[in-house]
Amino acid sequence: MKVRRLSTFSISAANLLHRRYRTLCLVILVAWITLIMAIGSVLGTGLLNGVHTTQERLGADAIVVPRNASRDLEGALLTGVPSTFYIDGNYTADLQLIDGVEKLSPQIYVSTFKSEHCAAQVQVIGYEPKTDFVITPWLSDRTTKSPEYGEVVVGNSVYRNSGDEMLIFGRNYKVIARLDKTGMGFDQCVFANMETTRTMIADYEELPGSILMPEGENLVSAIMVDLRDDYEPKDFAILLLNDLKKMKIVAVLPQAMIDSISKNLDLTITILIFLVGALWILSLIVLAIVITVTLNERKREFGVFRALGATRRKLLGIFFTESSLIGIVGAGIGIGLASLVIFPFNLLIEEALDTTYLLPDVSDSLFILLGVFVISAAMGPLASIYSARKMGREETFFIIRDGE
Amino acid sequence: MLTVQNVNKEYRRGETPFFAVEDANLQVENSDFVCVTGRSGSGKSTLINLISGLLRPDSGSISLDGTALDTMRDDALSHFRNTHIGHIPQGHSLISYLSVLDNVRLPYYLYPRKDDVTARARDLLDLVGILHLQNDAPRNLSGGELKRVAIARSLICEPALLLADEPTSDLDSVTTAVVMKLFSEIHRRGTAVILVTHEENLIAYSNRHLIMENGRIKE
Repeated sequence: MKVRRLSTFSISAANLLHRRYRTLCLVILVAWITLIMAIGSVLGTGLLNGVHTTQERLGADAIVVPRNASRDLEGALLTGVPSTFYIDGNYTADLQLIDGVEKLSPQIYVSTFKSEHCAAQVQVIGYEPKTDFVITPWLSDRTTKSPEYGEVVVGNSVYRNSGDEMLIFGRNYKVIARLDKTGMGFDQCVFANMETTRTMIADYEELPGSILMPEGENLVSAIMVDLRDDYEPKDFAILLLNDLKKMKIVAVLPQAMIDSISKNLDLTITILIFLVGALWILSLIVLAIVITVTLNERKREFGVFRALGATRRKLLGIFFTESSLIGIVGAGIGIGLASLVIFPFNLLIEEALDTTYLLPDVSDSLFILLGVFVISAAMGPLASIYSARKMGREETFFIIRDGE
Repeated sequence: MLTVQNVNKEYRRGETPFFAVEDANLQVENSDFVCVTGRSGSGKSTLINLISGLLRPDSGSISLDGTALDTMRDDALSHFRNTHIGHIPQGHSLISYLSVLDNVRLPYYLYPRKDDVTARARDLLDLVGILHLQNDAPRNLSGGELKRVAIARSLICEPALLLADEPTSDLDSVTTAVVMKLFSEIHRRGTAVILVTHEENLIAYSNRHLIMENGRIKE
């Protein structure tokens, strides 16, 4: 019969399997902390990614909306809550007269609803390709042309591909592109030019039971404003509030919105890091205590190894191999479980978070999980350091005494 | 072969120092089967641990086959112990998570050699009469069988000196006789044996008898 070769690994593994209950408990402890660290890291990165993407995609210095619609706009942009609000598009000309305003581009928002007339509940964002400076730059990631009449571009969470048709208020529109994921409300949006969007509104008004739209030929929902570099968006907002208050419009400042989200997020992530760090240290202490107690139980075993000629270094090798195996197996299980939670349930996580969230791409996720794996796997050897020092310090540590 | 000269080993019990081994002098030849008796705490095990190099003497010298053990570094001393000394520690000394065969092969794992350790381990298990238990776990063995595995393991590296610390302390008289016959056979094959015991009736198996009393050796 073939007999396996004895090695440090086989001896360590045999001991861990022999003490399987203890090993299982330690592996579960490491797996648990790894799971928490991995999910926390990926979620944290996803939230940061969401904020960064939002920052990149909200390319206007100010967004002018009706006075009571600033919260609706925030919801529409960040989390894709469909909303509809209107102002007179002629304000564009008035705003253009303000010294410091460089570019203006109107947008119109229409909410659809899931019914026999619409394929899905989405937010339609109608924009003017000729004047637009916000959507066109990042639309070009996926399509070289702006949507023409009868064409739409869909956000990543709208399940239509290029070439499909999409029913909106009883009329089919050709999907010319589907955008990359942004982690913000844009993922649930459909983009069309103004003319197409006005056709959608007209179709909506034809539907039985529809709410009549405010009267006016030139209605828009928001006006994107690009200001001169030396003109503070805050001053522009104050101007609208004070000098132009009869227009009943307000300037929402995307940067301020992002700063506020960013500040809250920084606090959340700091707390998250602190809690996970505390948990890691606590687990390390528990692990170290168990390993130290176990070492005392194993003095006779190590004494026998010494009597047979094992050097202290050899014993440390066995000892650290065992604790490393616990760390590696525990960390591996934790990462596996975290992957099972993060990747398949990503969409549910996104919905549950109700804020900008963008799962890191595969390579970034793997890099994060690898980092967490290394930190978790290191718990085993780190927890053994105290015991190892104890082994090395005392001359009589390995002496087998009667009754031990 | 083994020379112990003026060896002292002092311990502290609280604040009070005491000699576990005091001014020990001993000369052991290849042909010797030495039985060391004495009461519990008389220093027998400390003497064995000093000879095997697990403890360092505070003063004096210990040499085996011309090699001074007390001045060797730990790595060299461990290697020397592995190749020259068979050591059977007190009580149950098998590694519980390794099979009987792996326990016997263990010294070869510490310092690998070219020869076929498995065949040699099986020969030794056959010599001590428990080859049929080679794949068993130590927990399935009786006290006498465990001792026989420990004896087989101590012989795997063909040591010049065999040290046995209370090898029959937990065995019945019949099993004790079986184990002692094994030591006699090992001695007959040319290995010097130092056996520490508190059982006076084992002296009959040896050709030298030492008594330890308060850390001192008397012959």
